[in-house]
Amino acid sequence: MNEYQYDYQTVKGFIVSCLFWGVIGLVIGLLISIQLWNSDFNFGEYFSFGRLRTVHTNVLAYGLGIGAEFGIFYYLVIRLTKRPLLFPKLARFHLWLFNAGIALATLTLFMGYSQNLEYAEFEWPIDVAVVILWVIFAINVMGTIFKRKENEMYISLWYIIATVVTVAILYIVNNLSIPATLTKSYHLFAGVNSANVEWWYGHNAVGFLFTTPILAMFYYFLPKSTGLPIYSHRLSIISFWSLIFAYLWTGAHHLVYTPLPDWIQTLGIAFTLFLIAPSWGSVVNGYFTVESDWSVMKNKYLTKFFIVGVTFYGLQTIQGPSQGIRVISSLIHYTDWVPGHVHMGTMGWVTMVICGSIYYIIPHIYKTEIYSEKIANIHFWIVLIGQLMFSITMWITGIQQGAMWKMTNPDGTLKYTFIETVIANYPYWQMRTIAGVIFVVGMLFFLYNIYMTIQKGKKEAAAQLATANA
Amino acid sequence: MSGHGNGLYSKALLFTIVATITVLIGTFVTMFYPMMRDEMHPKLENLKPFTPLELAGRNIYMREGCMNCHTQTVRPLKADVLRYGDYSKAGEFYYDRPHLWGSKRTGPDLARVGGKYPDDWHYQHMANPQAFYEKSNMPKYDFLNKKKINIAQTVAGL
Repeated sequence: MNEYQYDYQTVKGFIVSCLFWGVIGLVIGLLISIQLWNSDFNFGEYFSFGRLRTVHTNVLAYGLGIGAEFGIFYYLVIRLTKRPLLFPKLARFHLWLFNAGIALATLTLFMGYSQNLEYAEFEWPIDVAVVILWVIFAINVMGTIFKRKENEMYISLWYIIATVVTVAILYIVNNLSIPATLTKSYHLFAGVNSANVEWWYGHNAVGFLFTTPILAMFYYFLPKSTGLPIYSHRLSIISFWSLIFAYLWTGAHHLVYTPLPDWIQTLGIAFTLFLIAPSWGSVVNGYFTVESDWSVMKNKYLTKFFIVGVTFYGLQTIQGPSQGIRVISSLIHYTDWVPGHVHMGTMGWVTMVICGSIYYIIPHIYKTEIYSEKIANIHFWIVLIGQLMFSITMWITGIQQGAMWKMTNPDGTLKYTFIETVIANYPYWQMRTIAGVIFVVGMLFFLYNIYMTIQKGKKEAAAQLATANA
Repeated sequence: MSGHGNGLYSKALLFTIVATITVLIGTFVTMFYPMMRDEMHPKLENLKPFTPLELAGRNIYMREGCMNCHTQTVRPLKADVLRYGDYSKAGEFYYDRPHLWGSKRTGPDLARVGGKYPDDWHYQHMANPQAFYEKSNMPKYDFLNKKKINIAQTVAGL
């Protein structure tokens, strides 16, 4: 089976690194969730909400999310091209640079060096490093795909190629800025235009960092872990092209009712609604894959990670477009509904599929079985409960907030002062902290299970070596 | 369409080019094309560039991540206008690099907060928001008293 050499070390390195950054990001997430209902948990300059929220989103997006994607993509690419990476040493360098980069980037955010572009906060020297990092990754992945031994490219490779290309375009354009000092720059774009560029980037960062890469994993690991082939190749083709086509039109749905020209908003909203179709194309494809034998949901513990994950992807891609519609946006935009929406996607879809993929990869690399399916099942249910509790409390309080902001007295004056609308959130924000703790506990079960699987694999390999030498 | 062995899906370079063009169409129509139009660069007639002090303050706003809780754009909706003042016009943001419209109102919108309260109110509220609103969740920014303005950043920004 191993006639071609796999660079497992880099894959392992990225997986361990992403889990490390994941823990940091989650702990900061818990802290900022407490800060929202108790300001005493702000500790001076470096640990105040304004800076920590940025640290939270970036460490989880770039450290956990992209770290996992780098590792899993390296794994997928060598499997699907049936050849080793073109430059295995470059990939190792990529791993070290990634970790050094995330560490440095996190530090700069603590220091308050921020461009204030959401999900593109890193200041320009870090941006330069990110671009270098991405180019190194792109050369290796694309080069390996170009020199592949397998003629036909599988679905996952399409999504990987789309990710590599689009993220490069998005990141470079949005981060164009004029450096003032080493730690400060001014956006090349101003005012309305700056907002339009930023949300073209912002929404597509979600699309090409949290949708296409996760679909790449989904299309590979669902068939692998169930033993069932993807239901429809044709549906995958239609979903892929319509998804990557439509995504880029939709950024302006983040700017509904702002001074951005109306036609751009309307175009954004229209394409956002269209986006339901390709998103559900993949959801349906996943369901029908398992339709041929639903017993895998029960018999193969990994199936539920992918099927429940893709279900939240389906819900996310119904909820998202609904939020884009003007009348709904006017109620829930700027409220806590939005973090509820985001966390359904990140906790329910992205993290679920990444965890499922890692559960598949780690035993495979270490040539062993998972340490405990039971713990994996416990992990699954706990994170599911934590995530649902998180999202649902945020939706409720978001609607309440939106309604309280709008309510007027019979004489036409506003019914509530702003601080009243803030305080009304507190019980829900406290429940959100509890939900966060539950989710983190679930993730600790995951980490323990992965750690024990690695230990088990090492022990078995050592024992095998001992018998071979005896 | 799904031609096995010989279609688009077995030609990596061609596939990459087609995918790139596909993502560039929406990018062009909704991002590059508007950029070339005047309506994306409007400027109110009486709008003045930031003064050095205003820009320094704006940079502090950015450094502390105020945008994570405050917006700076009032929507043309009745309740927004009642609560925050006149709705925002595109031409007000000509000098904003980047825009600071924000996406979340954990605290109120700040687009029209200038002049609403005396300077001393802000000075004390920033240092201890809970002295004004007992249950406010805004962090105390008393440490700003001791920090110097970064002149190099401000000068370069002008």
